[in-house]
Amino acid sequence: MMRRVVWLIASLLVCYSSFLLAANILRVATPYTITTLDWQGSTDSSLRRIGWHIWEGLVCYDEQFNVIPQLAESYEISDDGLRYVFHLRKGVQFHKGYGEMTAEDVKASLERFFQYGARAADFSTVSAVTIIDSYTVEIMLREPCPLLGLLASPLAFPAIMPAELAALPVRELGVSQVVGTGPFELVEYVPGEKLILRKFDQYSMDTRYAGPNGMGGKRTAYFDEVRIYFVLDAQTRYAGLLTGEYDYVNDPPYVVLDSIKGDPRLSWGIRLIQKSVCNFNVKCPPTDNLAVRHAIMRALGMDEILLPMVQGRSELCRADSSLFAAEGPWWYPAAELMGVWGHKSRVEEARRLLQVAGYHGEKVIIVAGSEQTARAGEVMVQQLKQAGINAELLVFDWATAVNYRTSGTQPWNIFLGGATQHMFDPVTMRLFYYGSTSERLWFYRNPTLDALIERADSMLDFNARVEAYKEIQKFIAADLPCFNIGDFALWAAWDARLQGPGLKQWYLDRFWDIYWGS
Amino acid sequence: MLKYLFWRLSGLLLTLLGLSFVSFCLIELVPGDPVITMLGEAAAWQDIERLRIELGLNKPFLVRYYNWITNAVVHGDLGYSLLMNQPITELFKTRIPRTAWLALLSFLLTIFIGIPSGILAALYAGGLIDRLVMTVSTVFLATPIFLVALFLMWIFAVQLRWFPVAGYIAPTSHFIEGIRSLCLPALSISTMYIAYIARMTRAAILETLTQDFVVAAQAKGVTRARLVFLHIMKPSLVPILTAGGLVLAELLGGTIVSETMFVIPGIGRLTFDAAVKKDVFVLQAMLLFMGSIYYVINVIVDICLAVIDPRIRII
Repeated sequence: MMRRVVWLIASLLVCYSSFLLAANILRVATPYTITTLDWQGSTDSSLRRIGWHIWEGLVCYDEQFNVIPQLAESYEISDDGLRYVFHLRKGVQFHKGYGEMTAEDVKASLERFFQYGARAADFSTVSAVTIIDSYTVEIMLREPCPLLGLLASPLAFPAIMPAELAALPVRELGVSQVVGTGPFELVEYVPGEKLILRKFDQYSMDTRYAGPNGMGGKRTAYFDEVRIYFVLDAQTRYAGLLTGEYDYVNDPPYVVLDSIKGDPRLSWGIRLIQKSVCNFNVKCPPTDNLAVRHAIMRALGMDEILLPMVQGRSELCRADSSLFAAEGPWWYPAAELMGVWGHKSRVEEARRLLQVAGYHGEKVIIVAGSEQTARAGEVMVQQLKQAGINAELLVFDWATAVNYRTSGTQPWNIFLGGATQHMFDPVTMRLFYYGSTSERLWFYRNPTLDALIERADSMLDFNARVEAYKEIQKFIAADLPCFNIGDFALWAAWDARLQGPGLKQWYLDRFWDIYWGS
Repeated sequence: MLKYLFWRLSGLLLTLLGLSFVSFCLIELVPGDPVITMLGEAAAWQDIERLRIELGLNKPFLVRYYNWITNAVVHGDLGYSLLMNQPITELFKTRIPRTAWLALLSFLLTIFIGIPSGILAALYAGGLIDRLVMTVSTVFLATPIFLVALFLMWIFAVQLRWFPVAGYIAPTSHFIEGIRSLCLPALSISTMYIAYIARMTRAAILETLTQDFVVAAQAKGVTRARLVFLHIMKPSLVPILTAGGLVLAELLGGTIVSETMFVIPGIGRLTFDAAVKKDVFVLQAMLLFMGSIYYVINVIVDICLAVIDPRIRII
């Protein structure tokens, strides 16, 4: 009897596995739960991984982090940079029978995003969105700004949706209201459990491109279904990959990287290179003193700080002083070139600067909001102490750390944070050092720096803007509102039979252009 | 009995009222801003403030408490999950059955392994069986649940492939597969409780064995089985039942570690997500729910004790 039961169970499992292969389903395990389905409504990085499978925008970023048209067939910018005209691609279909995308849908979607989206403040210079004809939309600005870079940024994306759904409040889209033009459509979402994407059979492939290119290009959905399971424990994800219950997992434990490398059944790759951007509190002693901030920078040896963040896996990190991605056009290691930032600790130089600053042993409080940054913080404390700085580390969970930092009443001097938006236009990094947002988050505001940034962001010539941002990075390296320890990678592992350009390292996970190889 | 039930249930309402206020205060003290968690740190402060007003989080503490408690009592509405974007009652409706299945399986394992082990250990006190039971129970008590879970997962799921690594299948839809998906999580939780119940049982029986009536029964030539099940078990049940009630209450309150590791989307996992993401309304509702569970189970245990032992009077 027992043998029959076991045989029956085994048969059912074989049938189920065969069904999965026959139905061409990709099973993904990720720890990145989402809090809303509305990509316009949150800058949460978890949402980007899912959102770009469902939605598209007028423009997006390509592999080199340049802006390329997506739903726009073409666009024109007036000489004064105040008028943008987007000509839409024709015949682009929405999911779930919502018909063809027209200018009306684009206008409604953009107005929703510009007024109520999570990045609405970035678009305060937009004065009007106007329909010229069924496939042409005009955006008027009050002042020039890098509009294309802002529209292409996947942080809270200006996703194009049907006009009737754009009338719904932000962050209140249910499963049936998540409608885009992307290669996959959302069919099921159970909060905290799973999310299922299904191939959209009427997807309007962008044939202007030879293949996928970054967020856009010619995207092909090979899988009939992508099932994303929210699995918080790293060991469980890895175990599921080994048993074949998952085909692709995000962030396996660092300790198993060698096992994965040695296992011919598995492959791995970097999914996202994050910046470990740290901010100084310029209002709280002793870091209100610029000389002390410079002394701290001399005391820190970034190579030694970075490795514990990735548990010693040097292939998953690189020390880099630039606030922008090395893979993009904005990279410039100003702090390293100016001798502010160093791979190794420079204790004597730090001590000299401390003397100049008149430092008398005031406590330097470092705040970490995750296990990863806490490991970095421990090394920083040791390095600072070696230089004679009285340092202390406070470790919280992320939400508590953010609350502590912004309370205004709690003392802190260095906040160990991170950034996932450094690959894109510099406007998306401004929260660390520019304007009222920086003032609210970090108590830092420098009118000279603000003016430099506003001047750079009003430039219409791309190369001139790149040069202007080099000057901005030099200013930041001198005034030290923030600094970057280095870059560390989030990675994924998958079944080695998976192939396709979608697996290539770029930015986050892309489940288009992935298929089972022979 | 009815009068007892009436007074105890009245007490439940008062207890819940007090608990609701205390939980509201405690959650208020928890640092962290759910609005920033929802919108992301990079969101503009105007958007953050706008959402805070929309959600009513800018109102004074007592106003928020009053609104929440009146909605809960009058409409049965526990509020809305800020992060799951669903009514909390709906979340509970889907998640409680899953935790209930896990709790039931764990409880059955606990009772059917723990009590017999404790009985054997007591009857053969000082012998090999006793030493084995005590050693194993010490190891189980000392080993954290996550370590047991990892061990079970590695051996029985990854190496032997007898059970799935993770995931939940409702036993109501596929009974065998459902139970199979719950085996490892239930085992991982119940090791600790098996040890606890085994020790409680052993201690209770050892004490009963010293009673005069047991000696008298043995002198009369009562068989061992009859001695154990008719004479010893009943008086020993009082502490065992009390301990079992506490175990059941803890299990029904959700087992965060097992549910997280084995991806069982139950109450425990919901509590963990709510705590990490500062979903304050869910945390408040969870505290109320767990308080109710403990109270109700205590009432049931008290009644059972009165039935088992007539010397215990319920007033």
